Amino acid sequence: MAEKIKSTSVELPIGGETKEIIDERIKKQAPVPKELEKQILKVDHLKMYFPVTKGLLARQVAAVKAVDDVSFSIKRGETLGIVGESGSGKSTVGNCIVRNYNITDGQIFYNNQDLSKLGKGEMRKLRKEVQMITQDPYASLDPRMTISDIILEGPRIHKTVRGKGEERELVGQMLELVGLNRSFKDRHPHEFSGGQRQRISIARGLALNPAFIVCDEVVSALDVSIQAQIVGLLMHIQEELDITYIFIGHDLSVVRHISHNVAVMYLGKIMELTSSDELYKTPLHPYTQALISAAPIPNPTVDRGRERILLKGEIPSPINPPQGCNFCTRCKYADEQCMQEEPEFLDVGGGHFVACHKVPGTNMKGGH
Amino acid sequence: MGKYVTKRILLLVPTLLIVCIIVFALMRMIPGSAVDMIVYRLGQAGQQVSAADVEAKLGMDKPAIWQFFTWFIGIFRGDFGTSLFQNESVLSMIGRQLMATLELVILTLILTNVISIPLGLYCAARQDSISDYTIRSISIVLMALPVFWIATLVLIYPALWWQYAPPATYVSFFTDPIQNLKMFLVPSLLGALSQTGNQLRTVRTVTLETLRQDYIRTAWSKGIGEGRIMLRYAFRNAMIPVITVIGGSIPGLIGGSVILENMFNIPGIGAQLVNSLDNRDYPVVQGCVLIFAIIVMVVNLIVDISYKWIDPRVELE
Amino acid sequence: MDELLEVRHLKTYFYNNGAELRAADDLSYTVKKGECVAIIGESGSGKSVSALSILRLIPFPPGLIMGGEILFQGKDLLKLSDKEIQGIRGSKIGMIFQEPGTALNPVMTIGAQIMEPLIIHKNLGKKEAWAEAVELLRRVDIPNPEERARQYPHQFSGGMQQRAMIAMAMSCNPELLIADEPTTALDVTVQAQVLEQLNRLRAESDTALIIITHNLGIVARYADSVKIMYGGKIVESGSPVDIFENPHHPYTLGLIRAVPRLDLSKDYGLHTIEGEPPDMSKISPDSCAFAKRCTYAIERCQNERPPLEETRPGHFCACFQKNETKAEREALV
Repeated sequence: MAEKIKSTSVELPIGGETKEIIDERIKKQAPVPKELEKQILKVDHLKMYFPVTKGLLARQVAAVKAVDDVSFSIKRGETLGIVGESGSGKSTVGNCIVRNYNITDGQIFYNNQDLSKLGKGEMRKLRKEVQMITQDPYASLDPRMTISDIILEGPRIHKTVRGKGEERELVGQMLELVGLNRSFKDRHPHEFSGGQRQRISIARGLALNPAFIVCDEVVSALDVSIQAQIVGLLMHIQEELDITYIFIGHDLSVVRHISHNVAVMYLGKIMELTSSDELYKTPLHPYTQALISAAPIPNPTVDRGRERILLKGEIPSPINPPQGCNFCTRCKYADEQCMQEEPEFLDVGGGHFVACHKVPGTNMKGGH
Repeated sequence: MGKYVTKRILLLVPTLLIVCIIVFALMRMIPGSAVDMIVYRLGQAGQQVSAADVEAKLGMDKPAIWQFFTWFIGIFRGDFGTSLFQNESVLSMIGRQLMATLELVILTLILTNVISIPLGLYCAARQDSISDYTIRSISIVLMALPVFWIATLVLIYPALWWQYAPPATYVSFFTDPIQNLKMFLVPSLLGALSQTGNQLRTVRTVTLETLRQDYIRTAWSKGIGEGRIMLRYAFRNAMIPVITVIGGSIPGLIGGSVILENMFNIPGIGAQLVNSLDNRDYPVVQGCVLIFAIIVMVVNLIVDISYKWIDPRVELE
Repeated sequence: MDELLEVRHLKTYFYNNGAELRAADDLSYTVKKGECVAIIGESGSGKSVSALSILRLIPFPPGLIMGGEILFQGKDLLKLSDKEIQGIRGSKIGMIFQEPGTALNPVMTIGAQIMEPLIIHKNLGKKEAWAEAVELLRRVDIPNPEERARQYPHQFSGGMQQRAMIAMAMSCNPELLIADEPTTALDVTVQAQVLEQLNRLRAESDTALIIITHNLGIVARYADSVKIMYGGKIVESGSPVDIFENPHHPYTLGLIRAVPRLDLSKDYGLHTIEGEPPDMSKISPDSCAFAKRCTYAIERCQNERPPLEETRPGHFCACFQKNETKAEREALV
């Protein structure tokens, strides 16, 4: 029987200089009160509804409940993975945290500061600390800017670098950090491949020395082998620079690999939230079980021996979610209670949260 | 759909109001006292009048706003006013001339599309072939040559060589179709040629764009032949932008008919408009411009409605 | 002979600004009756091109099938006239594409689109064809098929659009179905539904399936035979067990180890293949396309192109170093 390989993540060609960058950064990050030192982000009952308007006068007739009462917290230096399909609201959550939207309801605490209560100046300072990297490496880089300009855009606006010398140094460091050649700084995005552009996006995200990065489907458009490179890079950077991530994706295998904890979202709500190991070992929510079953395992002997769970029907519209549990229209266990009552998001033991009527106290333990 | 059409028609009224205001104001802004001009012209025509008389007749002694509203309300009663120079109501004058212009415009439209659409489709299907290049070159030449120049040549040379000239007297289509068409064919063809140059290139570009779409490849994969693909897939989808172009060309056609009407002696609105402007015949000018505006608005409405008919994805609000 | 399709030395090249891209470079493989063949590759591997070549759907310009034979039921498809190949497309060989949203004609009803192959190939009248189309929609589990057939593609969800495409491609009971990345644009659970349906349908009618994908999991689940493509060539081919549990080619090994495993502990780790997928215009025909990124590469790999050789019955590999990968191979879980 073959032994399992114990290997760490990828080796990057990072030179000795990086250690100095790392030390500098850890020194520069904002101090945090001792008691809650570990918790960097706390989201409380977040709601984000987008109005649907009709007519010349833009009367609101309905709302798209993109995010509907979502709560979680993240410890510094860890990764929360958010996984879900279209309409789950996962990208919207990311956008709310970086304040791209004005949230409809709920609170977001960053380093124990309520984001909604911050003044403009404080908010500006915060934007340096919380960055976002998105999916499409082709659309998110301005084709008319050089790589150098792209990376320096943030620092120039926030005035974190002064003078050409410092600028050059920063660009060089960032490129090295993501495994690209320093000489690339004068080139343009179209000269690079998808994977390289994604690295440039990451370099841009790191340029402001953030403590928190939201990665929104950053590897979804990449080839398998490149995905592995980028995921490895992100994990390495997290280890070295103690950065906290929210990693949003639709591929459960990838999300679970990079995350410490995983939240499974469906139609604007979190269905299950637990550690990544626990999620696969003991998925409690029927939707999680379906997702796991739907993710084929690249090993024919293992995969063909698994139980196949197929969902019926389609994802309902987020404008008109079902009355009871959001998942009731497709769930094979759904009954009267599920159709009428929304289940609460509860901790069923050891930090394992589920929103399902059928779970607590029953033998609805899923498996693979 | 019915609701949408009703809404659009109702929206015509405020638009009409604004157009009327602009027409009214612009007319009054033409330099040179209009009244003096009228007195002068009438004098030349043999009628001696005084400025005061003219003003009274025109209602110009009353405040401008009153004049405007009288005119505007009159429109809804079918009264566009009376010509200052001819003893005819504006409406009947326009009515008479409008037929001729409309016929010219419609014939030109038909000819343009009959030529440009099939040729455009063909060029797209045979992209970069010799025929494609030839046809495109010809269309650029057509775009470059002014229509009045070609018209002049067409009038002069056939007359010189073959003693041929298109009939110079207007006969209504309903009275004598053949004679009528004999008169309109050449100017329509000329108008069509000048439009074709542009439209052919648009049809070709748009069709090429359509042919690059994924669903064309799917159609091939089903074993559908080229003919059906061009017709059922390429043509229908390409028409959506082409309809916009056609709709946009109509105001130009109506206005541009002036030259051709003049040269071929067609008693249309274009010719009428130029005359009346010269004479400062306010009511007629106002009436003509108003009719033009209404035609353009109606054409726009038809184009918008046809989008929905052609493209089921369009959501009409 | 149960060889339904035989691709022999297919060469499909693209010409761009004077550069020659060998998208399919001397490609050979076979598909048996009723078999599910999976072709795996990343971008620039030429996998889609190899499939499009079968139905001669390569756009010219810039692409051209330069040589080789594609024998379908004994007849060389590349030598058929235009009319003859049109007779095969949609009737004996069906195809479904990646983005169902753009692959369907937006101004035709779904029913009308499904009807087309029936009218053209099976000479059905309009009424019969419509009834058949509705029935096909029912078979792919689209609810209210009578109503749905009258609707347009944009009124269908992504999963339903893809199922409509499957219905369309299967309408004339083809012998072979080619699916080019059929589920890449779909949600995970929808993907599972569609694939299950596809598998069920083709098993019912004993239709062979060529599925082109970069998703290793799908291949592990459904394929009877797997081909790995890199740089326009097949570098390894065999049964799913051969490929996933006993791969010989360094690229295959790298690919398998690069996919995160849901069923294993995270200590298993994600292994990367250094470098980027190849630039098609820069691949030399006299060397192994993977040599630049290969940790096992020796001098011979840069100067000679390795031929596809049988290592074990039914398992082929194109690599000079295939025996050196033994250690890494045995360490696989």
